Amino acid sequence: MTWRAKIRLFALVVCVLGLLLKIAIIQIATAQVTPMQPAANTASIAQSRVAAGEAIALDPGRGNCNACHQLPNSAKAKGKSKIGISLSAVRSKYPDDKKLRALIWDAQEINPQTIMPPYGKHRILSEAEIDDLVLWLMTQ
Amino acid sequence: MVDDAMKHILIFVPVILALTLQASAVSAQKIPPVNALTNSTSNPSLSTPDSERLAMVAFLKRNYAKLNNVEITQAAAALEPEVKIFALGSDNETNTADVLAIGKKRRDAKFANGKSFAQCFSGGGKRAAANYPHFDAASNSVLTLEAALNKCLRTNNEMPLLISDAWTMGALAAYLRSLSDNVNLTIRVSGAAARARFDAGRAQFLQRRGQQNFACASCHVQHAGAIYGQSGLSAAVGQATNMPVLWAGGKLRSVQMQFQVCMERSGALPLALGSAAMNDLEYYHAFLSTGLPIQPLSARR
Repeated sequence: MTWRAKIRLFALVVCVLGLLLKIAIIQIATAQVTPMQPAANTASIAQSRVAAGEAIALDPGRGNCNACHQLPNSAKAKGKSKIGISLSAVRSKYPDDKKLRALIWDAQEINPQTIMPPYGKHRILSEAEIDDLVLWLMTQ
Repeated sequence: MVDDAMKHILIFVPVILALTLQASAVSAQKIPPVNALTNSTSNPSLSTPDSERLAMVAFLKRNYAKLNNVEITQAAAALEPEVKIFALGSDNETNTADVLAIGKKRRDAKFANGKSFAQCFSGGGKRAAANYPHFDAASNSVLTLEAALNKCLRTNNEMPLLISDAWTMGALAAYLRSLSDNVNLTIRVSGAAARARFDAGRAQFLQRRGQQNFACASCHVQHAGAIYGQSGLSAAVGQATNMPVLWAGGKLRSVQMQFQVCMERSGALPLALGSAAMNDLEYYHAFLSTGLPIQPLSARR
């Protein structure tokens, strides 16, 4: 094998490894999106996503919503903070779920003084997790 | 044939590069600072450090009507009874006595050259801690109590202590502070060079950091007195009179270590202990408590 062929082989190996890495990155990036099964019962999927939204809200490592907001309609919520608004009758406070989603994604865009973490902008939650959170909030 | 295959594969190289660059661009995004009430450029009445401090005290008192001077020095949050319990609750007096005894032993120890800390701190350090941190014109930087103790050790050809070590430097600094119990904290900002360090400290105080995007001011000025999660948010004014903090289980934390805990909680890489930025922050933060009496070390829950 000539040295030229050796370099080509080496470049080939590097490229194949890079290709595999790219596939892995795409898989990781898309893994968090909940796949919608067309044949499945849509009502039960919606229900499970609402439940997932509540779990995200209560998880101190994810939404941690209860650290600043009271969640009067959630049986598992114990926090008494009044830093943020009480998260009840959310639909009447935010009739447009797109606006609510934008607020969760980056609240500073709406109020520069807010201490609410930018859940979407800083990737504290994935886009799918924010979707689930909004679904649950709208039931509160 | 190999060349043909190479051409096909090489197409992916820029794609991979683009993906990598995109990922790093997100993490390098600049986070804007909090626009708090300390902004002297937009408010000329806050042009001196003292007017800035008084404005902050007034803000805290206006927002939290029940907050009185005693509670401010206790770093207690005012609004919620649950918060008060957190802020004022103390236990385990044995721990406190142990820490101070270790610190005293180290303060009294003779150096190899026969001298001791009394060489650098008149009266063995009595009432000295009330003036730390201060601006040191010779080095054009902020000198913390810990740095001053290490400076004394170096001057006497002794090994400096690790400022991250609670049981050597931590206990020594805690003991020095105890020699200023109930003495009013007196931090001076005089001259342009000192003012520059003060301003740099304020910038750190207002800097939003980490994934959670909190600034010191977000919790300890804007929302002082409120509950966050299960604990209370103390007011920035008064905190410096309560340092170091001895937590239950014997964990002793200097004010800079407390800053690090908050920075970690905000999802940020904390500033290094004793770094210029950290010292500036300590200077600004201590100045906010100027005129308030230093509190005795007490173990907290």
